[in-house]
Amino acid sequence: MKIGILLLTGPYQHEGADTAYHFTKAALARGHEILGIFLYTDGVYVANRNIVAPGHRNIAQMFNELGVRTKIVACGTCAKFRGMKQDLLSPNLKMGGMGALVQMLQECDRFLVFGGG
Amino acid sequence: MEAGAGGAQDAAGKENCVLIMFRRPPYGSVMAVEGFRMAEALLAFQVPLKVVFAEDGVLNLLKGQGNGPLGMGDLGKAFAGLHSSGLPELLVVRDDLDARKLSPADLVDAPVTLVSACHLRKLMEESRVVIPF
Amino acid sequence: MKLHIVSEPASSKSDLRAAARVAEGAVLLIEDAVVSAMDGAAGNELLAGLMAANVKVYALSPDLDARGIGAERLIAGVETVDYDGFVGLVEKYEVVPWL
Repeated sequence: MKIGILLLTGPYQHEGADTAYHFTKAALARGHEILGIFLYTDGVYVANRNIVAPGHRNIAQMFNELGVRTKIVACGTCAKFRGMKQDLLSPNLKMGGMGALVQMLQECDRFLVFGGG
Repeated sequence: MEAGAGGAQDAAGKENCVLIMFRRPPYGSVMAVEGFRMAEALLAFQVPLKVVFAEDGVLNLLKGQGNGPLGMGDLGKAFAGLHSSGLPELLVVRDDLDARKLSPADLVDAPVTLVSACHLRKLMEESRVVIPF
Repeated sequence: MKLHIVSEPASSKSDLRAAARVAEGAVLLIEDAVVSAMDGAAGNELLAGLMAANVKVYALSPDLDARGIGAERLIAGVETVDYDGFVGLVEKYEVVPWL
């Protein structure tokens, strides 16, 4: 199946980022295609390469790992509003517009949304 | 009270539609504004879209928002404007309006269609994608 | 029929109540919502009502494990699934996320 994912929360603030990560890994392990993860609102913060989490899971690194297996796109406008510039992005993640989300919506068999609060 | 005509159907005959569902009131979180922005973008890309307001989300459509010093704009007016961007109607869950002692007369001037909770279920069944804000 | 995924417990923004209003098919509790499946928690009645209406109720086991909630503490009828099982449910049902 082709699966699209929308993430609406930043790292650590809410479990949604972790759930999105673990779901994506499990779906890939079951042979599904993850069309992409669109980072929206605070979701763009998981793309911040400067996250340091001594003794804890590093969510930016987790998503950067995933970024070689699926397209992870941070919404450009949301990034702007949060001061997240291109050079802050983890290397395997990209900045993009709603077009990336639209493509996922058009091609997916399933679409999940994680985040909350 | 039927919702407006949707877009193309996929091989299974299912309407290839996105349903954006507004569940929160505006301004306390960024969700209503960002959901609006997504709806606007999907309309611009001509993605078949339905928009429904449920629970506290019905409050996004109250007339006369944006007063006072907070400077957050008037989301009600913005939602009303989606009609000229190609959204045929704003769907509102009747029970949630009633529970808040509101009527369509309290809402912004836009094509509003009241739906039952039963119809909300039907809307979800008909939409391959549901995105809550 | 859809998989209704609920991530917040009944005591807060009423995601569970909102999902229960329309759910057919199945409900999957993830993240903090898994606490609603604990015997005695707020939300038990909603879940029991769903099960009585033949809606299947699942709870994500990594979220139970993280919270130290053993299976013996859950109300009867709730099935646990791991992430592989979560994906299996998504294969079976289209999704309605409640968050």
